[in-house]
Amino acid sequence: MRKIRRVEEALANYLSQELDVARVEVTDLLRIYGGASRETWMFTARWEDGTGTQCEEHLVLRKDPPASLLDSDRELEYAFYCAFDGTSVPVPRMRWLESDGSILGGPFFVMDRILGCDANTARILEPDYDEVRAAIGRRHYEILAHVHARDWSTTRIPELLDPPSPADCWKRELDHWESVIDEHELMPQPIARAAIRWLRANPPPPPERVTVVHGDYRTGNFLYRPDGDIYGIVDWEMAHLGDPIEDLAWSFMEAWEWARNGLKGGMIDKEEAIAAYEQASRMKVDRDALHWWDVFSGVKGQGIWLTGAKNYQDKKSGELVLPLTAYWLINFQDEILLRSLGRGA
Amino acid sequence: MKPDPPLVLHGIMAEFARHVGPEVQTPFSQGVFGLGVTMLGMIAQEYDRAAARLVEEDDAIVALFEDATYLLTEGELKERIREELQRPRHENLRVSALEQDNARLRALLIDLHAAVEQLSGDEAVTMEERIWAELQESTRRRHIKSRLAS
Repeated sequence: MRKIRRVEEALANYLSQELDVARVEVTDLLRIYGGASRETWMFTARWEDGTGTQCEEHLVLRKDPPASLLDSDRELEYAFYCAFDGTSVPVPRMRWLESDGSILGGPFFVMDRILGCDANTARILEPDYDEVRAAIGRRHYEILAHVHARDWSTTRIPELLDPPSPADCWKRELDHWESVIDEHELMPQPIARAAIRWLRANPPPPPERVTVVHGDYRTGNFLYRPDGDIYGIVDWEMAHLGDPIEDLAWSFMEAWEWARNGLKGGMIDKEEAIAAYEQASRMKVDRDALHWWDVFSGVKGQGIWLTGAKNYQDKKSGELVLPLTAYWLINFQDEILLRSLGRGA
Repeated sequence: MKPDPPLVLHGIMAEFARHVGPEVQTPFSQGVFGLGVTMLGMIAQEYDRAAARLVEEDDAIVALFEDATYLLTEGELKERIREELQRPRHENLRVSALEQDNARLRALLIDLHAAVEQLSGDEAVTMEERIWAELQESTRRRHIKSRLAS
């Protein structure tokens, strides 16, 4: 509890400076379980503004931990959120980005909290979502089409990120994730290495255009309600510019079939999802490209799990989700990769 | 004779779930608790089988190496495989030592697999299929039963 109080006080001091008010009260600070690369905390802030009006806001803090499942760029994640503010892609409004790690023990950003939503991967499988689960699934892929339609050239993104050419999208991502595996594998990975060789020998067709790629588009990373709609796309920590099919393939990965019934994200049949995406994007999904990005997703997944396992082994983090990756997910990802390569049982 | 460690670990899981779980208050603490209990179950599965699966896998990879020496032309890879075949194995039966043996063999298997992919002919195709079969088998050996996965 003492740590919670200290963080509440530090946050209150920070917000009073940012809001230029005498005093901010921060209460109800509560850490949310999950988040691949950053600690996520919810809190309520109250203050009196210059006109004497009592203000109350429900906010979310995303703070860099000492180590995690992946290393990502906070400023870039913030820029991707901002790029979709006020568009047809629902995102929480960004409020403050702070690179000074001394304030809360790590750099952080603060955003609005979208109230009354569920986000949990298990919650959407509960009976009260039976009637609307498929509708949420279709909506998920309609929104993905809108993500990919965003003209990123008018945003801050190109200031922070070199856009790849369409022909280079696959190579840039594969080079990155192969280097992640090189750096973090605690044991040799013969299945991931065979997959990487296959990916290099069979490059995908280039996309029609380079788009925003969310990078972790799946159940667990959007906010939904029992009315069947989606109110926020979150966790943009792996967002980049690239081939839009990458997001589709990642969202289809077997690891996210939470109900273990073949439905993608626990919600929707793959072909129905593709149809919803094609209708909303007016783009035909190239099945060869989809297969390539499916195999790639297995390699990327392995890169993430290996990073978590290494960070735990190196004692950079004590988060229990990290050894879980070593004991379970790395082999599960290998099983998925074998099936993607047509070599599975 | 004392109770098997997997039995004890499963017992801790059950007792924690029954008596400690309901007392855990915040969603974050519940998440940590759930992961901890899940990890106990995974460690229980791995504890008893770890040495056996590592030795079994090493033997399977060595059998591939023995046959691959007839397939490969003279060169650095063939020499490394010959050296590996002459090396004593499993002198230290601690799991950490067995994992080091296994890691060395799996690293060499990666290089053999890549080399065989470049070869033509029926024997090369057969060897490649045997390597894939061994990789499939390696995932079966490592498979963890969990409520998180099938």
